Amino acid sequence: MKELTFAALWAVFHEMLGAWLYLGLAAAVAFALAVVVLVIRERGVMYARLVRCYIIGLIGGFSGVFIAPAITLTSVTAAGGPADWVLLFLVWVVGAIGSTIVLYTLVGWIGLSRRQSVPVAQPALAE
Amino acid sequence: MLALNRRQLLAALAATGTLGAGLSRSRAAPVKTKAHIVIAGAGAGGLAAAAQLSARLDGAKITLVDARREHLYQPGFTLVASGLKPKDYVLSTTAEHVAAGVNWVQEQVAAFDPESNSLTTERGTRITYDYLIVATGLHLDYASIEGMDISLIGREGIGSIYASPDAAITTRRLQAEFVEKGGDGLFGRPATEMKCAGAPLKYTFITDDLMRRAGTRGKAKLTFTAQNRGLFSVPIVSEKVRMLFQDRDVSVRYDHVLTAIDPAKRRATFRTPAGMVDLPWTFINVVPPMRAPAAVRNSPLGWRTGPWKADGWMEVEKPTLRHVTYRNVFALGDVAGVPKGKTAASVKWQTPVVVDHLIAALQDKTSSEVYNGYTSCPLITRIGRAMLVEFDYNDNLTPSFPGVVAPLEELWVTWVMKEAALKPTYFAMLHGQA
Repeated sequence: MKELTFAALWAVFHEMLGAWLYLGLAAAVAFALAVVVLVIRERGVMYARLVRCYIIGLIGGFSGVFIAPAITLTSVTAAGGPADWVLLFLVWVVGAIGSTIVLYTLVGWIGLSRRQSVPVAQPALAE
Repeated sequence: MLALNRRQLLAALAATGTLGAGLSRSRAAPVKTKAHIVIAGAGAGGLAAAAQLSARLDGAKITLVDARREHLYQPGFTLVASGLKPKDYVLSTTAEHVAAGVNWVQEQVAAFDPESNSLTTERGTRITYDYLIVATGLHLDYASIEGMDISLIGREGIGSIYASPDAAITTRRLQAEFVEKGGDGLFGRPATEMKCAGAPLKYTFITDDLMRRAGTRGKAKLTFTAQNRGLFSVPIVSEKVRMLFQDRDVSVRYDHVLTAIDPAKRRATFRTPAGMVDLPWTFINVVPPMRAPAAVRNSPLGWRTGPWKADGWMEVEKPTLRHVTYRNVFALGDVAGVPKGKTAASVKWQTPVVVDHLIAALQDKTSSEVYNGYTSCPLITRIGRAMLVEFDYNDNLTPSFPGVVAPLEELWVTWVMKEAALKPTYFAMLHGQA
């Protein structure tokens, strides 16, 4: 037990998630592409939308704080020490940032598709 | 220091029975050999050793001998017996874990003859070997408790989570009745060496927690009977558990060894320094004495003197698990006659050491790999919290995250390791991938 290898980590996650590991990675790659293409097509980040999505995304962060313990058959009251608070904070951060990016991208693509389907003088829904 | 380096991450994963040294080595060129390596037992140790040997050797004949077609994920038994996981959580097949190229003889070992480098199965098949790894696990000796029989599990408030997944499910049914109605709850451990000495403690804590959640704790008296003056072999952990039991109102009786049970009267008899003592039960978790399997116990492989002689544990060197007399024989897992070291995490750390020494011997070399007695126990203290107790032969605590995950602190993060990370890591270990 002297070296951490990618193969070992992969094996553990593969045992944990099975086929969902591949589906999850495929979804993550597809989503990352969606973000990149969106930013290119919109020629930059739409900061007004980002802020609105971030405010909603905060809810996602708090949801994660309650969902993560539930997944492990317990509740947030199980947190009992500093390491737990750090972990819950990380869950909150990941939940908030993840929710924000997902919302931002979804709203962006919905706006793009509507502009394409109704090209004349319709303001984008969330812009 | 909050930042985690690779070693700490690795060690933490290992603490839950995780990543291993095998992988880095497996990338080295395989060692060519024609040796016949026999592994007796297809439990955690046998399967992991077969996988690692298969990856590191070219041309070896590797034979795994075990009749069991069902593989049991034993670290999950406590969770099943507490209603937290279903029965199939601990069930898989041996076949799905046997590494490619390994010859699996589906027979039970009946006798070892290390003088002639051979073993014989219950069907009479004689198998010779150049090297032997004994990973047979241990024998649950219910019969040595007078009046006890496996068939009693599920009757008269008698539970026991060790015998089988069905026994764990049955014990859960009794526990649920006890949680609802209350009464006298008896918990304890045997005087022999045992697998996962934290398990009886966990089950006591979980039962206490379930009763508190159900609002019935006031209707029950929980008693833990310890076989000596401690609650755990590591003194500092023992003292912590004593304080927790005091906090949870679990009474402790020291120097109480269960010798007999009377199901009809629901009374358990204990041997104590002051004589025999009877205690009543409404619900009892019987933890049987544990010994080496008969095939090992009746062979020349066991200790010939000292405290482990009677129970037949194999006489091996502590740092290498190599037999002191028969140098082409190694022990792995529960059957090894070493202090502590009877958990899946122990197997995780023992396997690469045994495999490395065996391969070195094949090449007339020596290995510098050492097993320091590392054992890990995510000691559940309530549903949702556990203490990550890691220690070595010398009762030293060996925390994977010093300063971050305190070993004697009840934490959710440790529970997460037990509940979510342990099983996938265990299976990755079986497959020689971690």
